[in-house]
Formats: sequence, C-alpha cells, structure tokens
Amino acid sequence: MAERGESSEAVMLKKTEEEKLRKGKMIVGDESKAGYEEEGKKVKLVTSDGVTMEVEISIVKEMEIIQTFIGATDTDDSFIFPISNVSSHILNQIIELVKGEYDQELAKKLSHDELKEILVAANYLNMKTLFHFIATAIANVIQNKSVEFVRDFFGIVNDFTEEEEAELRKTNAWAFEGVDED
Amino acid sequence: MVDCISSLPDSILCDILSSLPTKEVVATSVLSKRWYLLWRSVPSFDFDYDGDHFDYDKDKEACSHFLQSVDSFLLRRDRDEPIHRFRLKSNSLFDHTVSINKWIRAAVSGSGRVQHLALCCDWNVVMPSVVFSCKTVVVLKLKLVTLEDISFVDLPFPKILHLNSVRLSEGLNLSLLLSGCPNLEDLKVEGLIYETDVQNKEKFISLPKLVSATIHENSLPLEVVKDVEVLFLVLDMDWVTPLRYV
Repeated sequence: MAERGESSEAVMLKKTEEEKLRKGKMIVGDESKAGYEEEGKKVKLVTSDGVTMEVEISIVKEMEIIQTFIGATDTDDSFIFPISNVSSHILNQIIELVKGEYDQELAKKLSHDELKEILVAANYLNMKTLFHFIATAIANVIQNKSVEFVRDFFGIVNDFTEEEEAELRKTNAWAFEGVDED
Repeated sequence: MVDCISSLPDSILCDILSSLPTKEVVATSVLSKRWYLLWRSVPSFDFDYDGDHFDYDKDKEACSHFLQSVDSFLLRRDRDEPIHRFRLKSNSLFDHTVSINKWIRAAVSGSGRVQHLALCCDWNVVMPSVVFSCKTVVVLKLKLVTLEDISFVDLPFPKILHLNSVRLSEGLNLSLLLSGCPNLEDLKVEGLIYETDVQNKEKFISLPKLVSATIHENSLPLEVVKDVEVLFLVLDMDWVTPLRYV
C-alpha cells in the first residue's frame, strides 16, 4: 500500500544482515528459539515410497506431528519416523521451500500437482507456516481464472445440470460480471 | 493423486479461498454441489471499487450496484463465521460512508473477529472507534481515512501498523494511537495529516518489540525507532535527518 513521493529519498539503515534475518524470523514464529544447541542434528524420516531421508532438526521442528512423537517418546538418533502420506519427491520440495524461507518465487516453479501434494502434506505434517504459504500460492494460481480452469485444477466434476448452473449464476450475478470465460 | 484435494475438509478449501477477492470466492458456488455453499464460510471480505471520476451518472449507477453486491454478500454469507481478513479499496464511495462503517463494524464486532484489516478509501470515511479496541487485530493498514475518536486505544496484539495519508481530527495525535499498541513489530507512517499543530507536544512511548520501521519525514521522533533493526526514512529533499539518533 505504500507509495512514496517522487521527491523523496529512501534511506535504509541496518545493522548486520544476520541480525535482520534472525529478528525477521521472530515475526513469523518462535520456532527458532529452542534448538540452537541441537544445530546440525538430523532426524530420519521414511517417506511413502520407502526412502529414508535425514532431515535437519530445524526443518523437522516445523512438523508438529513429529514434534508430538518426539515429545511422547524417549528418542535417540536411531529413531526413524514414518511419514506414510508424503513421497520423497514432495519431502525434498518441502525442504527446499523451508530453506528458501518461503519465497513465493519458488512456488511459481512448482507444477499444479506438486502444489496440491505439498498442501496435503503440510496439512498431514501439521506445518502451519508451509500450509499458509502453499494455500496462498494456490490462490495465486486460481485467481482471475475461469470456472473451467478452477474445476480442472481441483479435479472437480461438475455435477450441476446446465439449467442448475445457469440458475446459480443468476443468483449471484454480480460475482460473474466482467469475468472472461476462456 | 489427481483428486487428493477433494479428500480435504471444507475448512482447508476455505483457507485457500480466503486470500482471494470476494467476487471470485462467491463465483466458486457454481463449481459443483460440494462447493455450492462453501463460499458462505470463507473468513474474508475483500472488495475493490474503482469508480468513474469523469462521469457522475455512470459512477452513481456503478456505485449503487457495488453497494448492492456487498450487501447481498454480507446478507447471504454465514454470519456465524468469522471475517479474519477485511480489505476494502474504494476511491469514490464518499456518499456512502454509512455503508462502509456498517461493513467495518461487521468485521470487528460479534463473530467478525478480524485479524487483518486493510482499508484504502477517502477522508470522508471515519474509522469507527470500535476498531481501536478490537482485541483480535494483528495487522492494521489504513490509507486515506480519517481518525476522529481514538480516545480509547487498546490493541494488544497488532504486530503490523501501516498508516498512509491518514487524517487526524482536531486534537488527536499519533502518540495516542501508538501508546495503545505496545507490541508493534512493524510500523510504517507516511503522510499523516494533522488538523491542529500538536506534533511538538506529543509524548511517545517506546516500542520495545519494533523490528522494522518506515517513517515519513518528521512524523515521529527518531527516539521511538532508535533500536529497530531495519529503518527506512523517507525524506523530502530539503529536510535533513539528524542521523546521530541511529
């Protein structure tokens, strides 16, 4: 919303980049607080396609479903967590997104199927920041698109008759004005 | 994989839709029978009105149509569902500030529970005072509105406050507003319009959690923002900043 006047000059003053990033993260959440001494530690996850992946603890900390496990059991490094709903391909994508600090530019490179699978995975793993990030990315894809595009994207089968659909369009006519149907 | 989305609960589909403009949300009613009433539970209000500045009659017609659309949406949505995100951008609804006030009230009171409130209107729109004691607000972005009653500001949760071309009525000042928002992390103040010259008498509190600040000209003493990590100062060319504070 911010527009600056043309005669103005923006001066940016900052301390170190690292401090900015550290503080910036605190706005998003406090997850980073706890695990400094555990830095470098990895957790083994087994994906739906049977691949065992070692994932950095900082990323696993965002997966609340695994946090529940860790809290409930006395774990050591040999413990392996099965994540039966997530493939190794999708887990790799998730790791890239978390490492990339949830940059929407990264989401633009994902296919529609990947976006949907990551959403389902984020919901299953209970990763709140990832979930909101990917929900927004999906909203960006379907924004300004035709009804047919959205049906296709979500795999929706139109179970309305033509008459029913026409009637519905009339009920909320304002929502369909000035929209290109292509 | 094709249809994994359809196995998700409605609440997740609503989460996806909640960042879209309301017009597009309502249009999802024709997707299928499952989606038919889903829009009624989407927790957002997001409207844009771009009037016609050059043709009064045309604008009047378009404006009345727009008001009807919004009212029809509010009437038909599920009123027990919250409105977590409220965004209104309009440039010529000046005859209809009563309606705008009614919409804002729907978001901040009752089941509204708004968290993210963004308004860009014109100075005829006076912010209802209930906004400033709405305990659920986390993000408040105001542009081209007037503040008249900020005698009671109690916003414990806002982390982000952006003010752009906001008019403060007689006797009001920015410190009144900021003293009610102790937990701000991101503050942006650009182009405040004061009706009286009270700036010099203002007593500002410090904002200990502030991480990022953008302040325009001399809208705020630099003491208030001296500890932030990222500071943007927007200056007019003829105004020299005393950098010793930073």
